[in-house]
Amino acid sequence: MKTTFFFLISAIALQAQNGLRDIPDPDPGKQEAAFNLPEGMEINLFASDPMISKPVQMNWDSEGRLWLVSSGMYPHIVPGAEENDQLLVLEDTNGDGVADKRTVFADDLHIPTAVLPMDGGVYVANSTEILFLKDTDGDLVADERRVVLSGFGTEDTHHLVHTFSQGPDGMLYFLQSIYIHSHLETPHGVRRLMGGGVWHFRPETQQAEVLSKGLVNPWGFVFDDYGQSFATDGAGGDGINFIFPRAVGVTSPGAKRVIRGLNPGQPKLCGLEILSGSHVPESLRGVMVAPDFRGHRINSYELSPKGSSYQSTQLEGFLSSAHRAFRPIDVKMGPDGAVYIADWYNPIIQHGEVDFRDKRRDHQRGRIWRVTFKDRPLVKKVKIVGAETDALLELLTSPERFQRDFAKQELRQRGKEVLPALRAWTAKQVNESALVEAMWTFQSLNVTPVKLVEKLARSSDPRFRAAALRVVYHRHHEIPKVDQMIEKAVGDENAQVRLWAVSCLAQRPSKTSVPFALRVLDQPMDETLDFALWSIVREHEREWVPLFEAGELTFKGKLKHLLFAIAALEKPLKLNGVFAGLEDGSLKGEERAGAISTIAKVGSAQDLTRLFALPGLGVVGLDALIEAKRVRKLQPDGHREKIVDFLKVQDEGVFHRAALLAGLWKVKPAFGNLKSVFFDESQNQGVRGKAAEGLRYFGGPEVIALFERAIKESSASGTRMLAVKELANLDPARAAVAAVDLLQVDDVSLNKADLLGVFLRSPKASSILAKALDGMTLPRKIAILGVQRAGTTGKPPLDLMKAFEKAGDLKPMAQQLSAGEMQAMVARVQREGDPRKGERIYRKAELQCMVCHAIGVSGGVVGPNLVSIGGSAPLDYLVTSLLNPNDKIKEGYHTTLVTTRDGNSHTGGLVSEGDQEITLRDSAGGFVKIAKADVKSKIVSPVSMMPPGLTASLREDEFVDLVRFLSELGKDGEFQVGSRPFVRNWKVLQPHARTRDLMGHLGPKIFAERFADYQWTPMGSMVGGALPADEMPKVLGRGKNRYGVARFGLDGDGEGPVILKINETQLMHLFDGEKEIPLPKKGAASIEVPAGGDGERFTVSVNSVYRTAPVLIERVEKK
Amino acid sequence: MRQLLCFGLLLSCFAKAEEFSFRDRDTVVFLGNTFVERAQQFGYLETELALAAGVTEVRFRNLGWSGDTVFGTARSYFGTPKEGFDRLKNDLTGIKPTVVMVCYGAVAAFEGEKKKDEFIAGYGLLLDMIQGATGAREVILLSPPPAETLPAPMPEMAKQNGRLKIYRNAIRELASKRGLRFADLFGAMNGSSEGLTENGLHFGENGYAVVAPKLVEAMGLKAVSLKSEQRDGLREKIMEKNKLFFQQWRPSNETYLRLFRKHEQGQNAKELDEFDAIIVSREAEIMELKGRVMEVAQ
Repeated sequence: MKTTFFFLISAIALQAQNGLRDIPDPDPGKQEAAFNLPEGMEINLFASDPMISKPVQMNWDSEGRLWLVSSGMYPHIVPGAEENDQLLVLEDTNGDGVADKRTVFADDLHIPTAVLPMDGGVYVANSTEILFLKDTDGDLVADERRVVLSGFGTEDTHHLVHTFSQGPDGMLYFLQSIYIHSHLETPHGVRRLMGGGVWHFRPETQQAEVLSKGLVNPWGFVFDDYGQSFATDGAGGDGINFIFPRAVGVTSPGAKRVIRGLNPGQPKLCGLEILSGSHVPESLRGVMVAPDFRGHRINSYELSPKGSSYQSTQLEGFLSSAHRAFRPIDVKMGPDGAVYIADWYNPIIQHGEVDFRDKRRDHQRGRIWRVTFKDRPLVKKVKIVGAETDALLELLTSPERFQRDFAKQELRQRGKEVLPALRAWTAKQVNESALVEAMWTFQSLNVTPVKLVEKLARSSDPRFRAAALRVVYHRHHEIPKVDQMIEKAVGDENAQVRLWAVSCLAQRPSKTSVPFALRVLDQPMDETLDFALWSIVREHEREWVPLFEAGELTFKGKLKHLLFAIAALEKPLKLNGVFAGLEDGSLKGEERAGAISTIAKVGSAQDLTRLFALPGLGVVGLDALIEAKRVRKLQPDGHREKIVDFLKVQDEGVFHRAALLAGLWKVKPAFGNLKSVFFDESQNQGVRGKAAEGLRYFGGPEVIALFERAIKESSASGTRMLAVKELANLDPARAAVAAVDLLQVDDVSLNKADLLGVFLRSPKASSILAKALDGMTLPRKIAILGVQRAGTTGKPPLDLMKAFEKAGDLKPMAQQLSAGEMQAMVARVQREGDPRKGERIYRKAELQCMVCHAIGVSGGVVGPNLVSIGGSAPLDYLVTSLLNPNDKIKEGYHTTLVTTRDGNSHTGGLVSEGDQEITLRDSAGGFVKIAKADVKSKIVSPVSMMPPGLTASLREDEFVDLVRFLSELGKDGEFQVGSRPFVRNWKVLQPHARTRDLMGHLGPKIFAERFADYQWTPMGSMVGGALPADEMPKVLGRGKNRYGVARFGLDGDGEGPVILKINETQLMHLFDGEKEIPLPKKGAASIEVPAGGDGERFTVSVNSVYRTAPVLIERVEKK
Repeated sequence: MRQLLCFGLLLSCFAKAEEFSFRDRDTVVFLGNTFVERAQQFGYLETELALAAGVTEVRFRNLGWSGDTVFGTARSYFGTPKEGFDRLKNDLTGIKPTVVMVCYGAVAAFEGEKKKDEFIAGYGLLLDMIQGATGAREVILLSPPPAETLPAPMPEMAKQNGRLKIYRNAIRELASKRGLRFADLFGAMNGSSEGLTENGLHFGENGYAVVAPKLVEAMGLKAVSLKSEQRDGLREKIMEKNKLFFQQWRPSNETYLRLFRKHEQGQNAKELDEFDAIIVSREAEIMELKGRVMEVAQ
């Protein structure tokens, strides 16, 4: 018997055990036993409570001591309590791999989040400040305290300024996160950073600058052996992020454009280290490791250069733990060559989502684990402090990165007196790895070794050329031939060197900076390079635009450069050069389309007139004109009536756009055309819908009367739907009664969500609909849809939600459980929940989970990626999130509510904010662009985009299974998205009459045909990688036969052949393009195919009636 | 003429005719950027002023914020400077100060003379707001302190000092136009912070120890001389109180306590009220200690 969930919730027995006290055994021995280590790896406890507690960040010093900040106060000080967080120094004095000495260096800190011993003292992040603490009498206790920088925000204590590291250049690097707003006064001026980003700071000059912006909660940062920098994101899902100057990552406030990380769909990562040195097995050297703190695991990634950036591949896990309180948050290579892991140790990790005073928060424990490799000698400790300068110089070529880094730090510490020895040593080096270390040592000493930089900029290895340019980036003032160097690098054969050249130009605004930078367009581009170029064009606007406008900068013969610059700038400019290319036909294909959309984006009304007059304008041009009208309120200033000609073209795409333009421009002569199409019931609904929309834009009593007539006279519900929707836009009061009539019609072909959307745009319209619903009844599923839609608008209209509940006879939903009910629910999930059943429920279309959320790489991007939700979120959090989404909103996923001047409102996730428009992503994943000129207000709404009541249609056992499934995501086992490259993103075929009619004649090859009218919709694999045959839409065949049909492509851009490993070929057909690949009758198969192709290259069909096995295909590079 | 005279002859340059003095139960707000914010950590400024007030009971609230401007830029959290400005108004309305000491200009001066008019216009709006929100009997404008050129490779600050002088003059003119007192800290330090700053701009323990009495004098008050251990006992209590007030007034996790995630942690915002009683009892201790220290001194 199906009973709704909210009914049953009150019926749960209250005597069940309290699942919230399911806290793991804190015994370190038990925790050690719970590690799952690959062959050859060993782990031991280096330090544990009570010797240490709550480690946040750790860094080594040149004597091999481990400095550690710890915070028992986290997440929030108790009123009147002492500020007593600590900075500890740990030592392993007898070299047995276990810390045996602890000194409290400072004990008066307030949630310290970073520590770095350097410059004879130690830098500490202390909430609003960065402090420098120093021990002056040798007892390893701070007795000097200086504020180095202040003005860091504390809006969220898990975003505070954090993650100190010393760059190879001797500077202090640090990070901050999404909610932090920092305002630093430095002797070089004020520096501000809103939201996330990476800073660098040179103590000698006290200069602090922003290197890159964005990322949600970046909490791992590392340099590789070539001086390139990378970050991980503790609240973002892109794995490793390549950090280059002026990069802007996700969620940076006001960002018009962002650059994504290298591994989309990864769990959140905290900390980052590169494995190196002789103790680490060769196969692991160079591998990046990053803690997946939610999944109790350390992940590993292998990077290889790709264009100006990198390709990052996830490897099999480094290590994992079955212990639920293991929270690895920092990882560092140690002086002995072992890998050290800071374990925050906490059964829960949530910050805002779990009460600051929640009893389950652990405030005392913490561990440092030490990973070694069997039968491999450890690294012998070398003398650094007190060593001869020559000995330190020799260490610069040590195979141990630890020794290179700390020798460099020690040399910096000794100051300029080491320069003669450094110069002499450098002169003897031939190996470029040694020269690069020498270059950095000079830089660490705040000296620019000009000759050396020039030499490395000429290296045959692009990685050294890029490293040299990074020095130029920071110290260009001190390099006499800097312009020549950069100019040469702009034309470098290596894309990453070109990226650095553009970065260097960005540091040196001049008349030539942008024209020079644009030269990178003459060689292959990629997203990273494109971003850097786009960025400099905008940043240096004041340098090049006046020259261009004055005719001094013509881009003659370089139309491509000009087009890029104009498109990037998005401001009105003289467009003669672009028009010339369009009018003489020299621009073709993508360039032509780019030129057209550029003109529409930035051109004046006269420009638009000229654009509209172009022969063969096409869909691209019409779209551009629509956008110009909507976003910039501009239209051609003459000859608009020519739009009537477009309405007569026999092309639906052209008609759609022309109909809108005719209305937007209010072209009177077109009115009759639109009207006749709208009333012509023999035409298809899409065409008539656009005609109706065009008519609506004319507005006025005549149009209102026309829609009212259609509602009254037409017997076709499709016609009435169109008329009601448009009428509701113009005058909701006149449309409301007819709208309720339509909502009552049980016809899935009517798009009721769209109709509701019109009434949800303003409080006035929603109240009108609420009144019209009074005393009426609605089908239950429509009423639920109404509540869901209304509940996800920025300001939910409560009267309308009530009206839907009443009309659909919905019982008020239990959104809050009492403590007892929650305990019982949690216990039941643990006892009875079946994660496999739960996954199938998760995948049900009506729940819409997959529309908004991804698990790993498959699914929507509206909500947070759930790949590791089970590893972090306690069960009560999951239950509450499902029942009352507004209670729990993850950072970066807040809803933005934009109210426009006409009183309408738009709700969605903020995608970008440009000079002219705001782009939101609505709850269906679509983009909504709103002209800045129309915006009255823009606020962060406290309402989640996750609809309330999604679970109302579930039975209680189904709800329990669903929660259980979510709680298993990311934990070790079946519901962890593995690193094996299964095909995970598919497009499935919706039923189409053609297949039923022609199947008998053509066979399965009919599915592979590139037939334009087929409808393909995205579908993701299950967590394990398989696509269940019975979940695919049932495409009709002859008799009882039904088929599941899916298309997929080969991700990645390898060049060699690829092997497709198929789990089971029974009743399966596979096509490469339209060509069938013969498969064995049954059993597993491996097929070799060439690389390349798009996302719809392959078509696979299975008989979903007679085959039970799911479709599981793995894509393996042929070795 | 009178202004010229007092600039030339006196360290203080109050536009009002009568001498400034504290009154019983005065509440003094310090407002400004890093110079003001960091003063609370060392306590010298407040200690010197509290001693200069004699037995009069005065309490102090430091609303300084690094990087702040007359527009409220640094206190705006997720919003526009206007929101920071409104937040400040709200803070002032709650505290109800009778005396407000305002010190802006050090940040704006970096932008040079071209931004001066904008700064003065913004300063005017700020003063309107302060007077409207608090009805304070005294709003005192302080000039920013001078910058210092430290040995290379630290930057040369002579230019900045030139700009600071221009801003100092503009602030003095603003004070005079509005009939407000002006305390010329820049002048009191003879336009030099030599040997006092840690980074060319900001003072630490030693710097504030020197600057504080100068500011007291610039206000036309008399600095009280005390043995350093007596002063430090009082100063430490003041520093502790300042820490508590900072934790209450500018709490961590503001996003969750009172901003757009308050539905998750807003229940904990009530903890902030618990600071009131703690601060009141600390202030009673400070008054009591001050009384004893002054007795000994006399």
